Amino acid sequence: MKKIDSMPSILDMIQKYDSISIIGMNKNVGKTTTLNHILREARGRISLGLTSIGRDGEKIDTVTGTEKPKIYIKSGTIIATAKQCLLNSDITREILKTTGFNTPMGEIIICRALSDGYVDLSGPSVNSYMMEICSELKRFGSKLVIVDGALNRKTFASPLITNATILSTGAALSKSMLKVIEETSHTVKLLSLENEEDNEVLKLANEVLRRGRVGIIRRDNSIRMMDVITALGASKEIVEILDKNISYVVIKGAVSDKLLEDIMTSTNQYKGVTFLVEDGTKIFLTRETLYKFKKQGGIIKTINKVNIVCVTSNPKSPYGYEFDKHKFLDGLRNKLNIPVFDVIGGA
Amino acid sequence: MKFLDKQQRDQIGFSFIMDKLGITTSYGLEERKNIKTFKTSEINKLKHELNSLENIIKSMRAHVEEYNQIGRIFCKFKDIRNSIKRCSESQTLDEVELYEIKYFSILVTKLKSVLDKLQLNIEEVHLNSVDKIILLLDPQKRGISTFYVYDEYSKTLKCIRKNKKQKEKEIFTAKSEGIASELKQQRLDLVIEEEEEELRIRKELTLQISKETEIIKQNIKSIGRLDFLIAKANLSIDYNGIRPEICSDIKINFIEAFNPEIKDILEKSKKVFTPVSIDLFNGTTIITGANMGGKSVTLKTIVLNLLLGQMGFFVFAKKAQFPILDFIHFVSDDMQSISKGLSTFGAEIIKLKEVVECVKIENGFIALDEFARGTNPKEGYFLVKSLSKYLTKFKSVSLISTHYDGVAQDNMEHYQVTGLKNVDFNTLKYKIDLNKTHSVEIIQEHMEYKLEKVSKENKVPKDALNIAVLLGLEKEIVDIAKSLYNEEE
Repeated sequence: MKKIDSMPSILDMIQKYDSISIIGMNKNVGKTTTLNHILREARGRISLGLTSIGRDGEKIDTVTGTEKPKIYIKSGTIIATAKQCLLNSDITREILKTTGFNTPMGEIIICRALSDGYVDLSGPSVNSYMMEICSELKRFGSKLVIVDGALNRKTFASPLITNATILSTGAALSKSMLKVIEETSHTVKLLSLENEEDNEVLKLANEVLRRGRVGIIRRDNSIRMMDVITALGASKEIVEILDKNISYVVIKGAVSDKLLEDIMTSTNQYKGVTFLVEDGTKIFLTRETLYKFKKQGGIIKTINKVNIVCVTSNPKSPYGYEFDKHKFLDGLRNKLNIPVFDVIGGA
Repeated sequence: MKFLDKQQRDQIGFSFIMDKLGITTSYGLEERKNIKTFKTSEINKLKHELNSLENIIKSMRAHVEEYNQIGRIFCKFKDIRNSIKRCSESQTLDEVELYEIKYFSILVTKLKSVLDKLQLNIEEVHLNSVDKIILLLDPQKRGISTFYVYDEYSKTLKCIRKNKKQKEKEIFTAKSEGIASELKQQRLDLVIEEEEEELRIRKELTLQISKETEIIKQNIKSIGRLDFLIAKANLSIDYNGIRPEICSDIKINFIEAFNPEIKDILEKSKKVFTPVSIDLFNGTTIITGANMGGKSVTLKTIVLNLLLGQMGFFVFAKKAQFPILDFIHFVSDDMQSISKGLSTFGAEIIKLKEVVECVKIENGFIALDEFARGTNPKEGYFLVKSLSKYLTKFKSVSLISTHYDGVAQDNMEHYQVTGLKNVDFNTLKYKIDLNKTHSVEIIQEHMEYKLEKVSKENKVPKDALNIAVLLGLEKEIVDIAKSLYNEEE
């Protein structure tokens, strides 16, 4: 995508959703800066709810020893954070509710900021708790809930929890700009994999997800569940069952390189069969494997769509080097067909 | 353990009952954890507990909606005991703790207004007014449960916050990063002032609340008691429990007693539980009957209901009467010590020694299930007979099940499982002949598990021989057996 002169702001783009997550490709890629950017843009325009996946927003980066940006929220924001972190925050706060969800940093508390100030966010690290917390934040009046996430916990970007996602990338990922661009592009590709459109198939696929880990849908729309404990180790069973009458294989949980490699080396029958995965956050494939699979006629689609609204880029690395911010931004924009923002350099 | 150990409580279905108790609050769970049997000297306390339970049940039947309300309030209670403890140790409470105390107090007020309407008249669930605390933690009198260190607490605080707000505005509109960071530094100084003043106020609030801790503790106790009572009442309603009559002399009477756990299991396989009716006095009572005649179930049912009664529960029967017991012992061959490597018989003897020591000094209830079953029949018979005889001289009630004949003496009560006694033998034989593959089930169906009192004239039942005949044992063997029976008589 080429740079458009009158590009809408990030806030404009996310405002239509009621919850978004921000996930970073790595540490120090400017995730918190992105968040602060949105918080600043939202001031006086929309009431926000804010939480994070587990602990984040430490003052000092534990790896590089550099000072990390802190999250600065405005008065009126509703936040969900662990008690110990809440008491470390410097806002004047009204305690709204205790949730009964415990974390190593204490119980998750929901409170309203009565002043601007810095907060220390540490939300739940269990998916079901996160869903509950998000709906609590909405219940207390947040029009937009933002979940501060992490790529190694990318399942939190699952559409089941938040309905849109921002991906942060930056120089901290690698010294090679080309590599950063390629990795980011690959992650975006995985997350925004094509979604199955056929409603009838989606209905059957959801039935499989309800009933177990792996199942197949035949051409006559009949379902058969497979007796496996995890999708990761199910290749043998999948290979054995694949034949001309099968149109879909539905997989609940993570899809790994090994699973696809094992299938590709054992049979030809996967060609023309569509592999359906819960959503893009469950796919853990390298570029090579995905390419090989598709090249040989494999089809992989998702059941629920992850909406990647935009990518934010940070040309600076705390490890002491930086990219040319225009080259980096242009490189990303050329590779990706979603908007890219430089919230650090301000482009 | 004077009232059975954990494993025995599992066996008799007591743990099942505890799990069935639908307790909501952590305070109620505490009550369940500290559940105790009443001592002989506490007969009035036990009667009081049963009165309370009776009142609650009556009230629950009449006020369904109010009890649903109470249930919803219970769901919201959180355990604040740690904060109260900290408070009484004059450790300053944090904002979250103050919020929790405020929320707790609001819930108490709500619960109190529901309870006042019910006019329960049960003193141990009385709630004290916490208006003082609510007033303290809600200076804006908004009646909502959220909390912060309100501006209303101090003029200084209000002033600091006003200045801070101004700084924050300036930061937002700052022209450059440099100016903004300078303003942020100034803001930080105000934050420090604000925190100091908040701390001073929290200290003061803690002090005020610490004066009320006794009231809060009493309320916590009452909530726990109420939660526990309602759970007991629900259990009793679900299983048709009744209030036992607590007598002062040593006698035990059950009419149609049952065991909910065993009843549930039987009903799942579409079978019927035969209720137990029995009269027991001090000294020894013997239950005899064929194997599979339900003797163990009888014992477990009696032990369970006696134990529940000792703890102030309603019991599972049409009618029940018993005194407060000093102990309840249950000796069976599936005791814990067996897994410790003792033989069945060894374990029984070790346990029995303990029981005998108890009998000598106190009055309680002893159930022995097929004592000495594991040893050789002749010695076993002698041992059971001597034990039965020995136990007659005490005030404790001993109930011994055995399949040895001739243990019961004139000075003992004797019950037997009715078994196949009242069955028309030929009809049953005919039925079995028609459907030979299900012979065992057919016999079970006709087996009568009811207990009946045995008088001296009653003949020893020949159920074992009868069953052998029904199942088609070789006629020659049966004939030899019959001649042996005749020789005995």
